Amino acid sequence: MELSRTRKISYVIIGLLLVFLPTFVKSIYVMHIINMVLIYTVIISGMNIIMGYCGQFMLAQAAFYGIGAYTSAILATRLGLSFWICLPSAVIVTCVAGLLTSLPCLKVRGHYLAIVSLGLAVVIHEAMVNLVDLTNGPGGIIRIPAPFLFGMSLDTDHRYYHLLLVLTILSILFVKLILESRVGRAFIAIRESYTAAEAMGINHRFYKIIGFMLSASYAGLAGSLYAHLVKFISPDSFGLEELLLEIAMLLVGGIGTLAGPVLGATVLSFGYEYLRALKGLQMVVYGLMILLSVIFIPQGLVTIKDRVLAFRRGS
Amino acid sequence: MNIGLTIQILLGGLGIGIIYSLVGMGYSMIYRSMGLINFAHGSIFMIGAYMGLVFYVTLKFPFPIAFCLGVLSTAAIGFFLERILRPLSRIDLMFMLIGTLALGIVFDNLALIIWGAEGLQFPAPLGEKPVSLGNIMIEPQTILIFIIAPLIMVFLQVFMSRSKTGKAMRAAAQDRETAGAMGIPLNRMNALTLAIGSAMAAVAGILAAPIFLVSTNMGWSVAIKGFAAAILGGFGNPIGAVIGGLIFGIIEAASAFFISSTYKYTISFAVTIAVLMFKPMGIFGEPTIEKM
Amino acid sequence: MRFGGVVALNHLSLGLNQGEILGLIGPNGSGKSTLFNVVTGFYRANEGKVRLEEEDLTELYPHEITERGLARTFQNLNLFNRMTVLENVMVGMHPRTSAGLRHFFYNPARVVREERWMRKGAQLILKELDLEEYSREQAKNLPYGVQRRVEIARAMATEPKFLLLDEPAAGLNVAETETLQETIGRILEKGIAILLVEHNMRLVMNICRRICVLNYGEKVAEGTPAEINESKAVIEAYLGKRKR
Repeated sequence: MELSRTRKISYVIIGLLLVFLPTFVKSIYVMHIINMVLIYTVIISGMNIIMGYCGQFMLAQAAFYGIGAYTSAILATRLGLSFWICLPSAVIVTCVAGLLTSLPCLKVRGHYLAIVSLGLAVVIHEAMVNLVDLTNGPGGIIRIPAPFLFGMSLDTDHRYYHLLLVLTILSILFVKLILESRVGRAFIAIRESYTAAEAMGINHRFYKIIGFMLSASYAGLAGSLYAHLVKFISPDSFGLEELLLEIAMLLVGGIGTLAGPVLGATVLSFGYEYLRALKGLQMVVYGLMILLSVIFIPQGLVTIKDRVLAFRRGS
Repeated sequence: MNIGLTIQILLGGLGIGIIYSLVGMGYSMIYRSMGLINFAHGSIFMIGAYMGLVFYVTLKFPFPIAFCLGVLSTAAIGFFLERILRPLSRIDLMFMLIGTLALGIVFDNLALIIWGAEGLQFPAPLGEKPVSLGNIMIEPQTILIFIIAPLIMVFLQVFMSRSKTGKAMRAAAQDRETAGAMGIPLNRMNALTLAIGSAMAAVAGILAAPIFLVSTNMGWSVAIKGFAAAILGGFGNPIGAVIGGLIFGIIEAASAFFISSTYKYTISFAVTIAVLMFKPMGIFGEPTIEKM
Repeated sequence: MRFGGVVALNHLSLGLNQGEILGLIGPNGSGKSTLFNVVTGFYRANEGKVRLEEEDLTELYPHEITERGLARTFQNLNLFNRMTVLENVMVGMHPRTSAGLRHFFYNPARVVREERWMRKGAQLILKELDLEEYSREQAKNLPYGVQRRVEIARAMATEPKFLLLDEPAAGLNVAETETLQETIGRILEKGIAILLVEHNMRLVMNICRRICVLNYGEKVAEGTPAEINESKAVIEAYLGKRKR
């Protein structure tokens, strides 16, 4: 990779900032928001694969997030398994869930696909609420243990941060790897024209399934990380509201781009918190923000930089 | 199996199903004319219920008047919404989804500010006591639904096929460019469609209000099911939406009774998914000859 | 091949041999596109079979048919608009490679190797079709004539034995059509058989040694360009029966 000197230096600076962030941030509250931003980045990056790069309207991401969280929580609280076993297990289970949910979705397209995937998400959510023996129902699961790393318990937001940072960065890098490979091209080909993709030897059903599985895996990873961070989960966090938040993050950040999920997660997470000061009007303003950004910046905040540059050049 | 029981379940299912049908028809109509899937429709349903509440409970108008005023005021809101919804039409589904959803959130929270978080009771206009026909018990509200809803649907059908405005709206929906070239004011037609769609959601809202609790998030589950009903019947087809809604209602009632009340949403959606797997474009959608 | 009540292709029988180029002409609505879609696996035929060298392709999906060496272009361009020209052609190499997601984990060297191979191969094809200068451009920004060439380049990347061209000259000016003719000639030299559907009579008459004429889903004539030129059936197909 040829990187200019300034580029390299700025990466190093950003890297250092990121690594030493917890020392700058004193407030637990802000640290928690940052951690949630990282978790959401993972979720949205996954969603970006199937929705942004593959162009499929898949609305079950919040449900997968829940499956990851619950799997990890159940394994940790019921079976006493270490976090380091729970995490990969959660990813695998969610990946399988992605595989299974993809099957009914293969023949449907557009808003029909939206409803099928949404329906599946509803079914999964109901399972979380109703399979009380497994999930403890609406009461949720409490006392999820924090991970142990190098003999230290990562039970505060500040300590959890670096684990999240590493995994988030790896997740984004993996997306980049996929994109620049045969698999990634197959995804984009399907998005651009599934007919032409088929004509070029791409089995679009197969890749849709793979896309679902990838997306779900990301959500599963995030779910497990979430569960062990906040140590309490309930079905409320994985329903319709969550899904809408996720889609908003994806769109506001910039769908189909690498940096979009990061931007969307950051802006909407901090935006939500800072709007709290408005109390009753908080959600009204939040909703308006999203509405306006969809109308005026549909390509996402990622493109603002380009637009500003273009504007400056007087084009 | 007991005939009386079957009929009772059927009636209950049809009752709630008609509510879904009304909502679903709104989706289909608006989609056909504006190319917009309005995910704020559930919020409009909720606004309709609250409008009805204001006129019936707060201002204590007699029900028929409160009903009409509630529907008309919601229709007016729908009419003026066209301006806001215009940029969201005919774009990528994802943006349409989030944009209209965000609008719905705005409405929900405005309603929250105005009316507060506590659910409000909407008294049943015909009383609570179940009426008996033979050995079947039926709620008076269900009877009301059976009377009013079909009337509205028929009225709508007549309006769309006979009146000048109705024909203009259908023309605009079928072929925008030509209709525009013929001098039909497209934006106003869309606004009218939105008004009618919102009116239907309001009708559904007011009719359903005594059954549900009137609260600011009562619209969401109905919205999803109304949408699913429209999809089930084949999107863009109002008759399909009606059938879809009725089927949805019946499945819900039947599964609530026979299987379990907790899983009724699961079953409704499972059935929808199963249908879509065989007919990917809905029951009345086009059959696919393509292998793909 | 039936669509509802309309019989689109009626007992149509066509054969294409290696290294030859068969022209398919006929008025609009005569079933040319339907034939294409049936042969390439996009439609399922109600009756009849599609065979490639003894193998029955009738029930296969389009991607499987492409894997077996049958490639096509589309009448209304079907490029991957938001990809570059190079990427478009690299997608064409998909059926000849096999690096999948799992290889990321247990054989990344293979992924890298195949990627390099695909890139080189794609660049070669671009060179052959004089598309090198456009390799980094997004497909949607290209002039129409260039887009048409990219479609062909992409189809060629699948290393087909049979290439089906769906009105490749549509919308091309005289110079571009001549380039097209050359390109087709070069493809033939490689031993690839071509089924050419076209409205541009001159082009068809120039390069095809055998022509087949379709009308209302039936074959009304088949033969050399000279024979077709004289054929009454063909004239009737295009101009209608002469009124007495």
